[in-house]
Amino acid sequence: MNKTPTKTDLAVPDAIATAMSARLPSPYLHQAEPSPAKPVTEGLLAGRAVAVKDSLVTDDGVPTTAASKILEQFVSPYEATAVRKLREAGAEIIGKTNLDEFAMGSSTENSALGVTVNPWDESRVPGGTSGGSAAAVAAGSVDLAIGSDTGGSIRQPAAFCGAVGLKPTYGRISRYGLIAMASSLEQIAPVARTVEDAARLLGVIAGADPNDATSADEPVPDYLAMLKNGVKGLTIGLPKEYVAPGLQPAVAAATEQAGQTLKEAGATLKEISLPHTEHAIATYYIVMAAEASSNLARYDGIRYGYSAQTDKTAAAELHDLEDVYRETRSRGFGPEVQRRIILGTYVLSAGYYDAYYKKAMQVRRLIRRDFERAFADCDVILTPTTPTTAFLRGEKVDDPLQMYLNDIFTVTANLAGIPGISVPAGFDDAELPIGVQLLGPHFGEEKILRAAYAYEQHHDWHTKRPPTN
Amino acid sequence: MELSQADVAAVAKLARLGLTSQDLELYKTQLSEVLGYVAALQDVDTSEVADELKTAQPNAALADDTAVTRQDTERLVAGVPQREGAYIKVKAVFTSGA
Repeated sequence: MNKTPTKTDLAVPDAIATAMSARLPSPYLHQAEPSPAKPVTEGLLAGRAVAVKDSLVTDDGVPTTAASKILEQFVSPYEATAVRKLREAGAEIIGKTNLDEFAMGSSTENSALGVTVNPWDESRVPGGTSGGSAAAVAAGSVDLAIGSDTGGSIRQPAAFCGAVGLKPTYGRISRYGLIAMASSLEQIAPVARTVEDAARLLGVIAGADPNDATSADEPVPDYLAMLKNGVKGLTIGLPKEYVAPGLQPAVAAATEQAGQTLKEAGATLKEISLPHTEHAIATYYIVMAAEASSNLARYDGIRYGYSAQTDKTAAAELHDLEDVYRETRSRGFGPEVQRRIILGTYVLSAGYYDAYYKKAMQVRRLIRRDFERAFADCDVILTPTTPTTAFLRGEKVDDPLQMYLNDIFTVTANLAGIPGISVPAGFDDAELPIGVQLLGPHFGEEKILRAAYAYEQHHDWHTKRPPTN
Repeated sequence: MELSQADVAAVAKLARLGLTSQDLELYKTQLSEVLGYVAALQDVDTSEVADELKTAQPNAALADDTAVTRQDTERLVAGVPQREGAYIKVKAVFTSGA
Protein backbone atom coordinates (compact mmCIF):
# COMPACT_ATOMS: atom_id res chain seq x y z
CA MET A 1 0.00 0.00 0.00
CA ASN A 2 1.22 3.51 -0.75
CA LYS A 3 2.42 5.75 2.03
CA THR A 4 -0.53 7.70 3.40
CA PRO A 5 -0.17 11.26 2.14
CA THR A 6 0.54 13.88 4.81
CA LYS A 7 -1.05 17.32 4.70
CA THR A 8 2.03 18.83 3.06
CA ASP A 9 2.48 16.38 0.25
CA LEU A 10 -1.15 16.17 -0.89
CA ALA A 11 -1.06 17.46 -4.45
CA VAL A 12 -4.43 19.12 -4.12
CA PRO A 13 -4.44 22.02 -1.59
CA ASP A 14 -3.33 24.96 -3.79
CA ALA A 15 -5.45 23.68 -6.61
CA ILE A 16 -8.46 23.51 -4.29
CA ALA A 17 -7.96 27.05 -3.05
CA THR A 18 -7.75 28.31 -6.60
CA ALA A 19 -10.64 26.17 -7.67
CA MET A 20 -12.86 27.49 -4.91
CA SER A 21 -12.21 31.08 -5.78
CA ALA A 22 -12.71 30.47 -9.48
CA ARG A 23 -15.54 27.97 -8.95
CA LEU A 24 -13.65 25.41 -10.98
CA PRO A 25 -14.75 21.83 -10.45
CA SER A 26 -13.53 20.39 -7.19
CA PRO A 27 -14.64 17.68 -4.79
CA TYR A 28 -14.27 20.23 -1.97
CA LEU A 29 -16.33 23.20 -0.80
CA HIS A 30 -13.94 24.22 1.96
CA GLN A 31 -10.61 23.18 3.25
CA ALA A 32 -9.54 23.25 6.88
CA GLU A 33 -6.56 25.40 7.84
CA PRO A 34 -3.38 23.32 8.08
CA SER A 35 -2.99 22.32 11.69
CA PRO A 36 0.12 23.63 13.45
CA ALA A 37 -0.04 20.78 16.00
CA LYS A 38 2.41 17.98 15.57
CA PRO A 39 1.08 14.89 13.77
CA VAL A 40 -0.88 12.39 15.84
CA THR A 41 0.73 9.00 16.21
CA GLU A 42 -1.89 7.17 18.22
CA GLY A 43 -5.30 5.93 17.20
CA LEU A 44 -6.72 3.72 14.47
CA LEU A 45 -6.60 6.62 12.01
CA ALA A 46 -3.43 8.25 13.31
CA GLY A 47 -2.15 10.85 10.90
CA ARG A 48 -4.58 9.91 8.13
CA ALA A 49 -6.44 12.54 6.19
CA VAL A 50 -10.23 12.25 5.98
CA ALA A 51 -12.63 14.34 3.93
CA VAL A 52 -16.13 14.97 5.32
CA LYS A 53 -19.35 15.63 3.40
CA ASP A 54 -20.55 19.16 4.03
CA SER A 55 -23.81 17.93 5.54
CA LEU A 56 -22.00 16.89 8.72
CA VAL A 57 -21.42 19.76 11.11
CA THR A 58 -17.85 20.53 12.11
CA ASP A 59 -16.97 23.15 14.70
CA ASP A 60 -13.45 24.07 13.64
CA GLY A 61 -14.47 27.37 12.09
CA VAL A 62 -15.02 25.90 8.64
CA PRO A 63 -18.62 26.49 7.49
CA THR A 64 -21.16 23.70 7.12
CA THR A 65 -23.35 24.57 4.18
CA ALA A 66 -25.24 21.46 3.04
CA ALA A 67 -24.26 22.92 -0.39
CA SER A 68 -27.12 25.40 0.01
CA LYS A 69 -27.25 29.18 -0.19
CA ILE A 70 -29.42 29.09 2.92
CA LEU A 71 -26.44 27.86 4.97
CA GLU A 72 -23.61 29.36 2.92
CA GLN A 73 -22.21 31.33 5.87
CA PHE A 74 -23.33 28.98 8.62
CA VAL A 75 -20.66 28.09 11.17
CA SER A 76 -21.85 25.31 13.44
CA PRO A 77 -21.60 25.69 17.23
CA TYR A 78 -21.22 21.93 17.65
CA GLU A 79 -19.65 18.97 15.94
CA ALA A 80 -21.10 15.72 14.67
CA THR A 81 -20.40 12.68 16.88
CA ALA A 82 -18.95 10.82 13.90
CA VAL A 83 -16.50 13.67 13.20
CA ARG A 84 -15.51 13.86 16.85
CA LYS A 85 -14.80 10.12 16.81
CA LEU A 86 -12.64 10.50 13.71
CA ARG A 87 -10.57 13.18 15.42
CA GLU A 88 -10.29 11.10 18.60
CA ALA A 89 -8.94 8.27 16.46
CA GLY A 90 -6.19 10.57 15.23
CA ALA A 91 -7.63 11.52 11.85
CA GLU A 92 -7.05 14.92 10.31
CA ILE A 93 -10.21 16.40 8.78
CA ILE A 94 -8.81 18.12 5.72
CA GLY A 95 -11.92 19.46 4.09
CA LYS A 96 -15.68 19.44 3.54
CA THR A 97 -16.85 17.89 0.34
CA ASN A 98 -19.49 18.91 -2.17
CA LEU A 99 -22.93 17.31 -2.29
CA ASP A 100 -26.35 17.75 -3.83
CA GLU A 101 -28.07 20.51 -1.84
CA PHE A 102 -29.45 19.12 1.42
CA ALA A 103 -28.58 15.64 0.18
CA MET A 104 -31.31 15.73 -2.47
CA GLY A 105 -30.23 14.35 -5.80
CA SER A 106 -28.24 11.63 -7.50
CA SER A 107 -25.45 13.50 -9.23
CA THR A 108 -24.11 16.38 -7.07
CA GLU A 109 -25.42 18.67 -9.85
CA ASN A 110 -27.91 20.15 -7.39
CA SER A 111 -25.16 21.79 -5.33
CA ALA A 112 -25.70 25.54 -5.07
CA LEU A 113 -22.10 26.18 -4.13
CA GLY A 114 -19.80 24.17 -6.34
CA VAL A 115 -19.30 21.78 -9.22
CA THR A 116 -17.81 18.31 -8.89
CA VAL A 117 -16.99 16.09 -11.84
CA ASN A 118 -16.26 12.41 -12.12
CA PRO A 119 -12.45 11.99 -11.96
CA TRP A 120 -12.67 9.15 -14.53
CA ASP A 121 -14.38 11.38 -17.12
CA GLU A 122 -14.93 15.05 -16.47
CA SER A 123 -17.95 15.21 -18.76
CA ARG A 124 -19.73 12.88 -16.36
CA VAL A 125 -21.21 13.14 -12.91
CA PRO A 126 -19.51 11.66 -9.85
CA GLY A 127 -22.92 10.53 -8.61
CA GLY A 128 -24.67 11.89 -5.54
CA THR A 129 -25.41 13.01 -3.09
CA SER A 130 -21.96 12.19 -1.66
CA GLY A 131 -20.30 12.97 -4.99
CA GLY A 132 -17.58 15.13 -3.46
CA SER A 133 -16.51 12.48 -0.97
CA ALA A 134 -16.45 9.73 -3.59
CA ALA A 135 -14.61 11.92 -6.11
CA ALA A 136 -12.04 12.97 -3.51
CA VAL A 137 -11.25 9.32 -2.81
CA ALA A 138 -11.23 8.34 -6.48
CA ALA A 139 -9.00 11.27 -7.43
CA GLY A 140 -6.56 10.26 -4.72
CA SER A 141 -6.59 13.42 -2.61
CA VAL A 142 -7.64 11.24 0.34
CA ASP A 143 -7.97 7.50 0.92
CA LEU A 144 -10.80 7.98 3.39
CA ALA A 145 -13.97 10.03 3.37
CA ILE A 146 -17.34 10.23 5.07
CA GLY A 147 -20.64 10.86 3.39
CA SER A 148 -24.22 9.88 4.05
CA ASP A 149 -26.70 7.52 2.45
CA THR A 150 -30.46 8.08 2.43
CA GLY A 151 -31.42 6.25 -0.77
CA GLY A 152 -28.03 5.27 -2.17
CA SER A 153 -26.08 8.47 -1.66
CA ILE A 154 -22.80 6.78 -0.77
CA ARG A 155 -23.20 3.56 -2.73
CA GLN A 156 -24.11 5.11 -6.06
CA PRO A 157 -21.26 7.66 -6.15
CA ALA A 158 -18.88 4.96 -4.94
CA ALA A 159 -19.99 2.83 -7.90
CA PHE A 160 -19.66 5.73 -10.36
CA CYS A 161 -16.21 6.64 -9.03
CA GLY A 162 -14.70 3.18 -8.54
CA ALA A 163 -14.60 3.33 -4.73
CA VAL A 164 -15.96 1.29 -1.84
CA GLY A 165 -19.08 2.84 -0.26
CA LEU A 166 -20.77 1.38 2.81
CA LYS A 167 -24.22 2.22 4.14
CA PRO A 168 -24.50 0.79 7.64
CA THR A 169 -27.59 -0.63 9.34
CA TYR A 170 -29.96 2.12 10.43
CA GLY A 171 -28.90 3.07 13.94
CA ARG A 172 -25.34 1.76 13.58
CA ILE A 173 -23.81 5.23 13.44
CA SER A 174 -25.07 8.23 15.39
CA ARG A 175 -26.87 10.81 13.26
CA TYR A 176 -26.08 13.57 15.75
CA GLY A 177 -24.60 16.34 13.64
CA LEU A 178 -25.81 15.01 10.29
CA ILE A 179 -28.01 17.77 8.88
CA ALA A 180 -31.37 16.06 8.88
CA MET A 181 -33.08 15.30 5.61
CA ALA A 182 -35.03 12.02 5.97
CA SER A 183 -34.59 10.92 9.54
CA SER A 184 -35.84 7.34 9.28
CA LEU A 185 -33.79 6.57 6.16
CA GLU A 186 -30.38 8.19 6.47
CA GLN A 187 -27.07 7.09 7.90
CA ILE A 188 -23.59 8.53 7.88
CA ALA A 189 -21.51 6.33 5.62
CA PRO A 190 -17.81 5.70 4.90
CA VAL A 191 -16.25 5.72 1.43
CA ALA A 192 -12.71 4.48 0.85
CA ARG A 193 -10.38 2.93 -1.73
CA THR A 194 -10.46 -0.52 -0.10
CA VAL A 195 -12.86 -2.71 1.85
CA GLU A 196 -10.37 -2.79 4.72
CA ASP A 197 -10.35 1.00 5.04
CA ALA A 198 -14.15 1.13 4.85
CA ALA A 199 -14.26 -1.42 7.69
CA ARG A 200 -11.72 0.62 9.63
CA LEU A 201 -13.76 3.81 9.29
CA LEU A 202 -16.95 2.00 10.26
CA GLY A 203 -15.33 0.64 13.41
CA VAL A 204 -14.23 4.12 14.43
CA ILE A 205 -17.53 5.94 13.97
CA ALA A 206 -20.07 3.24 14.86
CA GLY A 207 -21.75 2.93 18.23
CA ALA A 208 -24.56 4.13 20.48
CA ASP A 209 -24.77 7.83 21.26
CA PRO A 210 -26.93 9.41 23.96
CA ASN A 211 -27.32 12.40 21.64
CA ASP A 212 -29.12 10.26 19.04
CA ALA A 213 -32.11 8.35 20.36
CA THR A 214 -32.24 6.32 17.14
CA SER A 215 -28.71 5.00 17.53
CA ALA A 216 -28.69 1.37 18.53
CA ASP A 217 -27.25 -0.15 21.70
CA GLU A 218 -25.84 -2.94 19.57
CA PRO A 219 -22.15 -3.53 20.44
CA VAL A 220 -19.60 -2.70 17.76
CA PRO A 221 -17.68 -5.82 16.68
CA ASP A 222 -14.07 -5.73 15.54
CA TYR A 223 -14.86 -5.51 11.84
CA LEU A 224 -11.18 -5.59 10.84
CA ALA A 225 -10.55 -8.84 12.69
CA MET A 226 -13.48 -10.51 10.90
CA LEU A 227 -12.62 -9.34 7.40
CA LYS A 228 -10.59 -12.34 6.32
CA ASN A 229 -13.06 -15.04 7.38
CA GLY A 230 -13.79 -15.76 3.72
CA VAL A 231 -17.02 -16.88 2.10
CA LYS A 232 -16.91 -20.67 2.45
CA GLY A 233 -20.31 -21.75 3.63
CA LEU A 234 -21.90 -18.39 2.88
CA THR A 235 -25.05 -18.39 0.75
CA ILE A 236 -25.39 -15.48 -1.66
CA GLY A 237 -28.91 -14.57 -2.72
CA LEU A 238 -29.54 -13.32 -6.25
CA PRO A 239 -32.88 -11.49 -6.31
CA LYS A 240 -34.69 -12.11 -9.55
CA GLU A 241 -36.42 -8.71 -9.37
CA TYR A 242 -33.18 -6.72 -9.47
CA VAL A 243 -33.24 -6.12 -13.16
CA ALA A 244 -34.46 -2.81 -14.49
CA PRO A 245 -35.42 -1.58 -17.90
CA GLY A 246 -32.26 0.16 -18.96
CA LEU A 247 -29.89 -2.10 -16.98
CA GLN A 248 -26.62 -1.66 -18.87
CA PRO A 249 -25.37 -5.02 -20.20
CA ALA A 250 -21.86 -4.40 -18.85
CA VAL A 251 -23.30 -3.84 -15.37
CA ALA A 252 -25.41 -7.00 -15.56
CA ALA A 253 -22.37 -8.96 -16.76
CA ALA A 254 -20.15 -7.59 -13.98
CA THR A 255 -22.75 -8.58 -11.38
CA GLU A 256 -22.99 -12.07 -12.76
CA GLN A 257 -19.21 -12.33 -12.86
CA ALA A 258 -19.00 -11.19 -9.25
CA GLY A 259 -21.36 -14.01 -8.31
CA GLN A 260 -19.18 -16.52 -10.12
CA THR A 261 -16.06 -15.21 -8.40
CA LEU A 262 -17.68 -15.58 -4.99
CA LYS A 263 -18.81 -19.08 -5.91
CA GLU A 264 -15.25 -20.02 -6.86
CA ALA A 265 -14.19 -18.62 -3.49
CA GLY A 266 -16.49 -21.08 -1.75
CA ALA A 267 -19.90 -19.43 -1.55
CA THR A 268 -23.19 -20.92 -2.70
CA LEU A 269 -25.39 -18.94 -5.07
CA LYS A 270 -29.17 -19.07 -4.74
CA GLU A 271 -31.99 -17.32 -6.54
CA ILE A 272 -34.29 -15.48 -4.16
CA SER A 273 -37.30 -13.24 -4.49
CA LEU A 274 -37.98 -9.76 -3.11
CA PRO A 275 -41.51 -9.37 -4.46
CA HIS A 276 -42.18 -5.75 -3.50
CA THR A 277 -39.06 -4.37 -5.21
CA GLU A 278 -41.08 -2.72 -7.99
CA HIS A 279 -42.72 -0.41 -5.46
CA ALA A 280 -39.51 0.71 -3.79
CA ILE A 281 -38.93 3.95 -5.66
CA ALA A 282 -42.50 5.16 -5.19
CA THR A 283 -42.39 4.23 -1.49
CA TYR A 284 -39.03 5.89 -1.01
CA TYR A 285 -39.90 9.17 -2.69
CA ILE A 286 -43.10 9.57 -0.68
CA VAL A 287 -41.52 8.76 2.69
CA MET A 288 -38.32 10.71 2.00
CA ALA A 289 -40.09 13.80 0.66
CA ALA A 290 -42.51 13.80 3.59
CA GLU A 291 -39.70 13.61 6.14
CA ALA A 292 -37.56 16.14 4.27
CA SER A 293 -40.38 18.68 4.05
CA SER A 294 -40.78 18.35 7.79
CA ASN A 295 -37.05 18.56 8.55
CA LEU A 296 -36.46 21.56 6.34
CA ALA A 297 -39.21 23.58 8.04
CA ARG A 298 -36.54 24.78 10.48
CA TYR A 299 -34.90 26.99 7.85
CA ASP A 300 -36.90 30.12 8.42
CA GLY A 301 -34.36 32.93 8.60
CA ILE A 302 -34.90 33.49 12.32
CA ARG A 303 -32.23 31.59 14.28
CA TYR A 304 -29.41 30.86 11.83
CA GLY A 305 -28.50 30.79 8.18
CA TYR A 306 -29.49 33.14 5.40
CA SER A 307 -32.34 35.46 6.25
CA ALA A 308 -34.37 37.70 3.98
CA GLN A 309 -34.41 40.11 6.94
CA THR A 310 -30.77 40.98 6.37
CA ASP A 311 -30.93 40.84 2.58
CA LYS A 312 -31.32 44.32 1.09
CA THR A 313 -32.76 42.93 -2.13
CA ALA A 314 -35.65 41.39 -0.16
CA ALA A 315 -36.54 44.39 2.01
CA ALA A 316 -39.46 45.57 -0.13
CA GLU A 317 -41.21 42.18 0.18
CA LEU A 318 -41.10 41.90 3.97
CA HIS A 319 -44.26 43.17 5.64
CA ASP A 320 -44.98 40.38 8.09
CA LEU A 321 -43.48 37.22 9.55
CA GLU A 322 -44.86 34.97 6.85
CA ASP A 323 -43.10 37.13 4.27
CA VAL A 324 -39.82 36.55 6.12
CA TYR A 325 -40.29 32.78 6.02
CA ARG A 326 -41.37 32.77 2.39
CA GLU A 327 -38.67 35.08 1.05
CA THR A 328 -35.92 33.39 3.08
CA ARG A 329 -36.86 29.95 1.89
CA SER A 330 -37.62 30.84 -1.72
CA ARG A 331 -34.32 32.68 -2.10
CA GLY A 332 -32.29 30.23 -0.03
CA PHE A 333 -33.41 26.85 -1.40
CA GLY A 334 -32.60 25.52 -4.86
CA PRO A 335 -35.18 24.00 -7.24
CA GLU A 336 -34.79 20.32 -6.30
CA VAL A 337 -35.11 21.17 -2.62
CA GLN A 338 -38.25 23.19 -3.31
CA ARG A 339 -39.65 20.43 -5.47
CA ARG A 340 -39.21 17.82 -2.73
CA ILE A 341 -40.59 20.10 -0.04
CA ILE A 342 -43.71 20.64 -2.15
CA LEU A 343 -44.03 16.91 -2.87
CA GLY A 344 -43.57 16.09 0.81
CA THR A 345 -46.03 18.72 1.99
CA TYR A 346 -48.58 17.47 -0.54
CA VAL A 347 -48.39 13.82 0.54
CA LEU A 348 -48.76 14.80 4.18
CA SER A 349 -51.58 17.27 3.69
CA ALA A 350 -55.15 16.70 4.81
CA GLY A 351 -57.00 14.52 2.35
CA TYR A 352 -53.84 12.97 0.91
CA TYR A 353 -52.05 11.60 3.98
CA ASP A 354 -53.82 8.20 3.94
CA ALA A 355 -53.51 7.65 0.21
CA TYR A 356 -49.84 8.54 0.00
CA TYR A 357 -47.84 8.66 3.23
CA LYS A 358 -49.71 6.06 5.25
CA LYS A 359 -49.86 3.72 2.27
CA ALA A 360 -46.15 4.19 1.59
CA MET A 361 -45.28 3.36 5.20
CA GLN A 362 -47.29 0.15 4.91
CA VAL A 363 -45.57 -0.85 1.67
CA ARG A 364 -42.27 -0.02 3.36
CA ARG A 365 -43.11 -2.60 6.02
CA LEU A 366 -43.70 -5.16 3.26
CA ILE A 367 -40.34 -4.36 1.65
CA ARG A 368 -38.62 -4.84 5.00
CA ARG A 369 -40.44 -8.13 5.46
CA ASP A 370 -39.26 -9.29 2.00
CA PHE A 371 -35.68 -8.94 3.25
CA GLU A 372 -36.35 -10.60 6.61
CA ARG A 373 -37.77 -13.60 4.74
CA ALA A 374 -34.93 -13.64 2.19
CA PHE A 375 -32.27 -13.62 4.88
CA ALA A 376 -33.75 -16.82 6.29
CA ASP A 377 -32.51 -18.44 3.06
CA CYS A 378 -29.25 -16.62 2.41
CA ASP A 379 -26.51 -14.71 4.21
CA VAL A 380 -25.93 -11.79 1.86
CA ILE A 381 -27.64 -10.57 -1.29
CA LEU A 382 -25.75 -9.60 -4.46
CA THR A 383 -27.12 -6.98 -6.88
CA PRO A 384 -25.85 -4.30 -9.25
CA THR A 385 -25.43 -0.99 -7.43
CA THR A 386 -26.79 1.17 -10.24
CA PRO A 387 -28.53 0.48 -13.56
CA THR A 388 -25.76 2.22 -15.51
CA THR A 389 -22.30 3.64 -15.15
CA ALA A 390 -21.88 7.39 -14.63
CA PHE A 391 -24.17 9.46 -16.85
CA LEU A 392 -23.27 12.74 -18.55
CA ARG A 393 -23.48 16.02 -16.68
CA GLY A 394 -26.74 17.73 -17.60
CA GLU A 395 -28.27 14.55 -18.98
CA LYS A 396 -30.96 14.07 -16.31
CA VAL A 397 -31.13 17.43 -14.59
CA ASP A 398 -34.35 18.47 -16.35
CA ASP A 399 -36.18 15.20 -15.77
CA PRO A 400 -36.64 14.60 -12.04
CA LEU A 401 -38.42 11.28 -12.44
CA GLN A 402 -35.60 9.91 -14.63
CA MET A 403 -33.12 11.01 -12.00
CA TYR A 404 -35.14 9.28 -9.26
CA LEU A 405 -35.21 5.99 -11.18
CA ASN A 406 -31.41 5.76 -10.85
CA ASP A 407 -31.87 4.75 -7.26
CA ILE A 408 -33.77 1.61 -8.06
CA PHE A 409 -31.25 -0.83 -6.56
CA THR A 410 -30.24 1.22 -3.57
CA VAL A 411 -33.40 2.64 -1.92
CA THR A 412 -34.57 -0.76 -0.66
CA ALA A 413 -31.73 -0.96 1.87
CA ASN A 414 -32.69 2.39 3.36
CA LEU A 415 -36.38 1.49 3.48
CA ALA A 416 -35.59 -1.79 5.24
CA GLY A 417 -32.82 -0.34 7.43
CA ILE A 418 -30.32 -2.98 6.33
CA PRO A 419 -26.62 -2.48 5.53
CA GLY A 420 -25.24 -2.41 1.99
CA ILE A 421 -21.81 -2.01 0.42
CA SER A 422 -20.86 -1.10 -3.13
CA VAL A 423 -17.51 -2.38 -4.37
CA PRO A 424 -15.62 -1.87 -7.64
CA ALA A 425 -16.41 -4.66 -10.12
CA GLY A 426 -14.68 -3.63 -13.30
CA PHE A 427 -15.10 -1.09 -16.07
CA ASP A 428 -17.33 -0.72 -19.09
CA ASP A 429 -16.21 -0.08 -22.67
CA ALA A 430 -15.93 3.64 -21.98
CA GLU A 431 -13.57 2.78 -19.08
CA LEU A 432 -16.10 3.94 -16.52
CA PRO A 433 -16.23 2.14 -13.16
CA ILE A 434 -18.92 -0.43 -12.43
CA GLY A 435 -20.06 -1.16 -8.86
CA VAL A 436 -21.80 -4.21 -7.44
CA GLN A 437 -23.68 -4.25 -4.18
CA LEU A 438 -23.85 -6.67 -1.28
CA LEU A 439 -26.76 -6.33 1.13
CA GLY A 440 -26.89 -7.91 4.56
CA PRO A 441 -29.32 -8.45 7.43
CA HIS A 442 -29.67 -5.90 10.22
CA PHE A 443 -26.32 -5.47 11.97
CA GLY A 444 -24.84 -7.91 9.48
CA GLU A 445 -22.03 -5.55 8.38
CA GLU A 446 -19.54 -8.25 9.28
CA LYS A 447 -21.02 -10.57 6.64
CA ILE A 448 -21.10 -8.08 3.81
CA LEU A 449 -17.59 -6.85 4.62
CA ARG A 450 -16.31 -10.41 4.63
CA ALA A 451 -17.87 -11.15 1.26
CA ALA A 452 -16.71 -7.83 -0.17
CA TYR A 453 -13.17 -8.42 1.08
CA ALA A 454 -13.08 -11.94 -0.35
CA TYR A 455 -14.29 -10.62 -3.72
CA GLU A 456 -11.70 -7.81 -3.66
CA GLN A 457 -8.86 -10.34 -3.29
CA HIS A 458 -9.73 -11.85 -6.66
CA HIS A 459 -9.22 -8.73 -8.73
CA ASP A 460 -7.39 -5.42 -8.73
CA TRP A 461 -10.15 -3.00 -9.77
CA HIS A 462 -9.64 -0.97 -6.60
CA THR A 463 -5.99 -0.30 -7.44
CA LYS A 464 -6.83 1.44 -10.70
CA ARG A 465 -6.57 5.23 -10.78
CA PRO A 466 -8.34 7.71 -13.03
CA PRO A 467 -6.21 9.21 -15.80
CA THR A 468 -4.41 12.31 -14.50
CA ASN A 469 -4.92 15.51 -16.44
CA MET B 1 -52.43 12.53 -11.57
CA GLU B 2 -52.83 16.05 -12.92
CA LEU B 3 -52.14 18.91 -10.55
CA SER B 4 -53.32 22.39 -11.31
CA GLN B 5 -51.25 25.52 -10.73
CA ALA B 6 -53.70 26.33 -7.93
CA ASP B 7 -52.93 22.97 -6.28
CA VAL B 8 -49.22 23.68 -6.37
CA ALA B 9 -49.74 27.23 -5.12
CA ALA B 10 -51.83 25.98 -2.17
CA VAL B 11 -49.14 23.50 -1.16
CA ALA B 12 -46.40 26.08 -1.64
CA LYS B 13 -48.20 28.37 0.79
CA LEU B 14 -48.31 25.57 3.38
CA ALA B 15 -44.59 25.04 2.86
CA ARG B 16 -43.84 28.78 3.07
CA LEU B 17 -42.40 28.88 -0.43
CA GLY B 18 -43.04 31.65 -2.94
CA LEU B 19 -43.22 30.49 -6.54
CA THR B 20 -43.24 32.54 -9.74
CA SER B 21 -45.80 31.56 -12.36
CA GLN B 22 -42.93 29.94 -14.29
CA ASP B 23 -42.05 27.85 -11.22
CA LEU B 24 -45.71 26.97 -10.73
CA GLU B 25 -45.99 25.72 -14.29
CA LEU B 26 -42.72 23.75 -14.13
CA TYR B 27 -43.42 22.15 -10.76
CA LYS B 28 -47.00 21.41 -11.78
CA THR B 29 -45.76 19.36 -14.72
CA GLN B 30 -42.90 17.65 -12.90
CA LEU B 31 -44.89 16.85 -9.77
CA SER B 32 -47.85 15.56 -11.76
CA GLU B 33 -45.46 13.11 -13.36
CA VAL B 34 -44.01 12.01 -10.02
CA LEU B 35 -47.42 11.69 -8.39
CA GLY B 36 -48.64 9.69 -11.38
CA TYR B 37 -45.74 7.32 -10.84
CA VAL B 38 -46.22 6.89 -7.10
CA ALA B 39 -49.97 6.41 -7.46
CA ALA B 40 -49.19 2.77 -8.36
CA LEU B 41 -48.84 2.13 -4.62
CA GLN B 42 -52.62 2.28 -4.34
CA ASP B 43 -52.81 -1.19 -5.91
CA VAL B 44 -50.49 -2.88 -3.43
CA ASP B 45 -52.20 -5.21 -1.00
CA THR B 46 -51.27 -3.94 2.43
CA SER B 47 -54.03 -5.71 4.38
CA GLU B 48 -51.45 -7.65 6.39
CA VAL B 49 -49.67 -4.54 7.62
CA ALA B 50 -52.67 -2.26 7.94
CA ASP B 51 -51.78 -0.89 11.35
CA GLU B 52 -48.00 -0.85 11.18
CA LEU B 53 -46.34 2.50 10.96
CA LYS B 54 -43.26 1.66 13.00
CA THR B 55 -39.97 2.10 11.19
CA ALA B 56 -36.67 1.80 13.00
CA GLN B 57 -36.00 -0.89 15.52
CA PRO B 58 -37.37 -0.03 18.97
CA ASN B 59 -34.97 1.88 21.14
CA ALA B 60 -35.95 2.73 24.66
CA ALA B 61 -33.19 5.26 25.18
CA LEU B 62 -34.48 8.35 26.89
CA ALA B 63 -32.43 11.14 28.38
CA ASP B 64 -32.54 11.72 32.13
CA ASP B 65 -34.96 14.46 33.08
CA THR B 66 -32.34 16.68 34.73
CA ALA B 67 -31.66 20.33 34.15
CA VAL B 68 -28.26 21.36 32.84
CA THR B 69 -26.71 24.79 32.58
CA ARG B 70 -25.14 25.51 29.23
CA GLN B 71 -22.00 27.58 28.99
CA ASP B 72 -22.15 28.10 25.23
CA THR B 73 -25.21 30.31 24.84
CA GLU B 74 -23.31 33.01 22.99
CA ARG B 75 -21.94 30.47 20.57
CA LEU B 76 -25.42 29.06 19.96
CA VAL B 77 -26.92 32.45 19.14
CA ALA B 78 -23.93 33.81 17.24
CA GLY B 79 -25.66 33.07 13.93
CA VAL B 80 -28.97 34.77 14.72
CA PRO B 81 -29.67 37.15 11.85
CA GLN B 82 -31.44 39.82 13.93
CA ARG B 83 -30.74 40.19 17.63
CA GLU B 84 -31.37 42.78 20.26
CA GLY B 85 -29.34 41.93 23.34
CA ALA B 86 -30.64 38.68 24.72
CA TYR B 87 -33.58 38.63 22.31
CA ILE B 88 -34.06 37.26 18.82
CA LYS B 89 -35.87 39.95 16.86
CA VAL B 90 -38.77 38.98 14.60
CA LYS B 91 -41.59 40.75 12.80
CA ALA B 92 -44.87 41.00 14.68
CA VAL B 93 -46.54 37.64 15.17
CA PHE B 94 -49.95 39.27 15.53
CA THR B 95 -50.81 41.95 13.02
CA SER B 96 -53.64 44.40 13.54
CA GLY B 97 -56.99 43.10 12.34
CA ALA B 98 -55.84 39.47 12.68
